Amino acid sequence: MNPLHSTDGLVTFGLRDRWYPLCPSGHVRPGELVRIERAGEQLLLWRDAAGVVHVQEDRCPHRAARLSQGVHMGDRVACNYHGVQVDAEGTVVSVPGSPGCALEGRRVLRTFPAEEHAGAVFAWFGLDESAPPAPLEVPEPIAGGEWSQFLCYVEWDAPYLYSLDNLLDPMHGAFLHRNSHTMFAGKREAVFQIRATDNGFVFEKTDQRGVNFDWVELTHGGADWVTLDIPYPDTAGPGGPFTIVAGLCAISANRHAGFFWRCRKVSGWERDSWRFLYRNRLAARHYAVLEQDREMAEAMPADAWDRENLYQHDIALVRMRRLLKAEAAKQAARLAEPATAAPVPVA
Amino acid sequence: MPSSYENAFGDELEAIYGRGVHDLPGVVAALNSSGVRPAGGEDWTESSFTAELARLSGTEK
Ligand code: FES
Ligand SMILES: [Fe+2]
Repeated sequence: MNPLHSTDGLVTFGLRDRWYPLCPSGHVRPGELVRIERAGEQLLLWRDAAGVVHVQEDRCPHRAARLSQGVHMGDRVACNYHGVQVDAEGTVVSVPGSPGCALEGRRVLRTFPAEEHAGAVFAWFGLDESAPPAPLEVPEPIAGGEWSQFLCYVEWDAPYLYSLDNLLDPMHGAFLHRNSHTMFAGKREAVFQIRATDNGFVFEKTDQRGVNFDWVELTHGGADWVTLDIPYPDTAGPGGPFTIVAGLCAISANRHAGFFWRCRKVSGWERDSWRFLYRNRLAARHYAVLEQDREMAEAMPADAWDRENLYQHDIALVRMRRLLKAEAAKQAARLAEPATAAPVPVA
Repeated sequence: MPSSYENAFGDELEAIYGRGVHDLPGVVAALNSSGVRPAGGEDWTESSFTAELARLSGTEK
């Protein structure tokens, strides 16, 4: 059975009817065929002659050879096994070994709607692949405008769910990151509350804000985002705290891609100053903090969720997991409904 | 790799900011009482300082 058709599989690899960030834009270079695995799918990424990125299944519609081993032909990809050519819409445009055969003109390669934003490639993974995608709505700090941002991309050997847990757990800032440049201050005990929003929730300390990692917001919709902010010390210059917009995508059950946009709402010389200091100083310090998270997440046991004793700081995790599981169960049930359309026979 | 000048400039900026000086005239004055100077050795002005930051930030306008 396709693991993506079960509740557990959807929790492990990511819900459908979602946009996921796949990789930094720079990973897909013009003229190249890039193979990556994301959200339980084996994908081929390439850019056409106009630079537009395409995301398709890395599986030749003829006999399933890897299209990523094929030839980039500008507006189409040719499989290297028997030369079948497929375009960006997933339509077979040529079968050189058997011209005029019924495969020609058929749209048979699974193709995922793709967009680029804030330096990353995103793709839509629909439950029903013939249905149009929801619009990709990106959080304000990475939508451009008054905000300035840098994307930090990582791949960790841990389930994406452990990263999600980590992001929804503000209290670890005061412990794990206590010696960092940003999270040295603030109390080590806190009472948290959850506040529902239109499409997610905010999890926040009731008695401290703007001191450490004090709140986090989960936005759960056409894409899942985690947003939080962390105060900078005076040494980072004018411009207030920095905001992290995070997006996660499973690579496999035990590996995931993490996108951390570090954002600051600054303009003019203050913006230039931050961008200079970020490159010259702050990027390395931010990275060292993230490494602490990585070491923690990668060393977690595979059955971490099976034997926990959660307490009040962990209510956001409970809420998020419940949300995820409920939606995964709903999607799995929809996928279990008998298919209505009969497959088209191959001539 | 950042040049030694960029590192010195970064050090000085962090030190000034760390004292809580975050306004443009204050930062320029503090920079002038430090050892970091533009290539020609002259004093910083608000415009030479902001132009230098724009250059160092690699701001794509
Ligand atoms: S498997 Fe791709 S052309 Fe035959
Ligand atoms: Fe952390």
